[in-house]
Amino acid sequence: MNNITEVVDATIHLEKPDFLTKTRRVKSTRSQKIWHFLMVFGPGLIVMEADNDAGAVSTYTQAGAQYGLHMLWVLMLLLPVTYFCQEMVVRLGIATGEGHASMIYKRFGKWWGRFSLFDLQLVNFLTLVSEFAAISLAFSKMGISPYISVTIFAIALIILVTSGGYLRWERIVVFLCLLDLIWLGLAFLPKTGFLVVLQNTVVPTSPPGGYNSAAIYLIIAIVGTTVAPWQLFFQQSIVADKKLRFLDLKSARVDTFIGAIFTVVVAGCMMLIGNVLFKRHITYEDPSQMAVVLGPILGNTTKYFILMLMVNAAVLGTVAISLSSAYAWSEVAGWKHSLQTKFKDAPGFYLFYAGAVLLAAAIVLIPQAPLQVIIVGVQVLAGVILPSAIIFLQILLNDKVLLGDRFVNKPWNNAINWVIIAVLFILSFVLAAQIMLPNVFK
Amino acid sequence: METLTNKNPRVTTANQMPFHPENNGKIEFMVVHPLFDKAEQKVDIVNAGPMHVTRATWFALFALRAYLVIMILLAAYRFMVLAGILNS
Repeated sequence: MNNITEVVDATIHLEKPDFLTKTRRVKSTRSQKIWHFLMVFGPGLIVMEADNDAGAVSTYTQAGAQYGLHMLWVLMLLLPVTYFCQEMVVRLGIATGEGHASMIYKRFGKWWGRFSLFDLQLVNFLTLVSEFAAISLAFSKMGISPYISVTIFAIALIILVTSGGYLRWERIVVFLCLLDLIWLGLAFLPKTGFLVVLQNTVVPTSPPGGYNSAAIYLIIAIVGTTVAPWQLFFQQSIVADKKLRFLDLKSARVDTFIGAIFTVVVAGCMMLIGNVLFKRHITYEDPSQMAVVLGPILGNTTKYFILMLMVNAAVLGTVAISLSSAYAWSEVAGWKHSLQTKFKDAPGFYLFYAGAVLLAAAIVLIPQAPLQVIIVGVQVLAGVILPSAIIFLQILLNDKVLLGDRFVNKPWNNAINWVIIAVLFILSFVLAAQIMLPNVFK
Repeated sequence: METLTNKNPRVTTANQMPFHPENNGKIEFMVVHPLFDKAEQKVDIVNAGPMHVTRATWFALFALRAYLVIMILLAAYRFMVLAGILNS
């Protein structure tokens, strides 16, 4: 902790408090703790819930439709996995005030930095295309042309990020995350018994047909959907952009844990919706088609809710993923990169974001574009890249000389992380092998 | 006077400082949003330079890199076949 010695003189902040967001005057330490938490709250929930993107809606509902409630236990296992991975980047972001791409570039050198950046940009861009594909599909089912829906959303997403600053962006995105609570309401409609859900969540049960190739593929897809490489880069970048301080670490951890629970619960609700079709032996190709099929069963309102939630998931994914790309590129290029900065002061950062959004939207609008191949490719690439991304993180978090006792990984952190890395590595290898050599796994 | 304990006495920020309103004399506390607090000195990674890693770690990282390059190339080939760009 030799480098952390600066004492902050906050006198100037006490002279002119405003009672909206910048400062707040409270009368008890309990109120102080609550307000402190609320001011820190945001990045954890956003990163976790944005991971429930269009691809996740597709994967979780498909898991429910194909295997009923038999895959719920996988989500329970993924709760600690996703929390421990993200907690590490929170620590690193608070300790250094730097983004993840910047850390790899500065600590491992340009060669490794550029490789990591290339991996991230590749998988992020393909994921972005899949998000716009979901927007296109959902609005097509409502009779709206993709040329209208995709164009409007691309422009709206650019305006959201390029204007208004960090706080406005955070509030709007947190609101969009909370809209996903509607999945909880929808999950109650089929009246699945609470005890049945609880039992399948805590006790692994064999799916129909056993753990065959298709079931293992879906488990891997669930893992790949729940823990993604861009999350590591994005959370560290926004923790740095929000300028979280050393004393914010505890609240940031709670924020991340709440986000992890939120995202797993919402994912479970998506499986419960898919379970409705499992019980009736109905198959479908994509979530928008699932919504249409569910219309006569759960009501037309439910159909529109699912279509809009699919759009919301795609919007959250697009904002988070394209921003993670823009942050990472700008960190390595040495450009200014902050949502607190105006467009004219950080043109490279904002133009990169806008360029990624517009290019992904344009690809979706190309007639006959191989969207299904891109969606499958995203899963494979994310699964392949994730373990290596966590290995870099693990090495960075073991640099005791730089981080000191407070921020460095504890032995139990390392033990958990190496188990996670080993499991992810095996899964990524099996996933890649299954996709690339499908005949071997028949 | 009521005071706040700071687990790390070398790091103090505005929201840990008691505030004394002029009118009623009661102790109050300020909570400052991180974005509007004065910047604190972070771990200096610029001057820290490249990370010291053992030869075994470098070897492992290169092996990992080679694995990733091969996997990405294999995946690219497979996707081009699926997309109809290449014949299987």
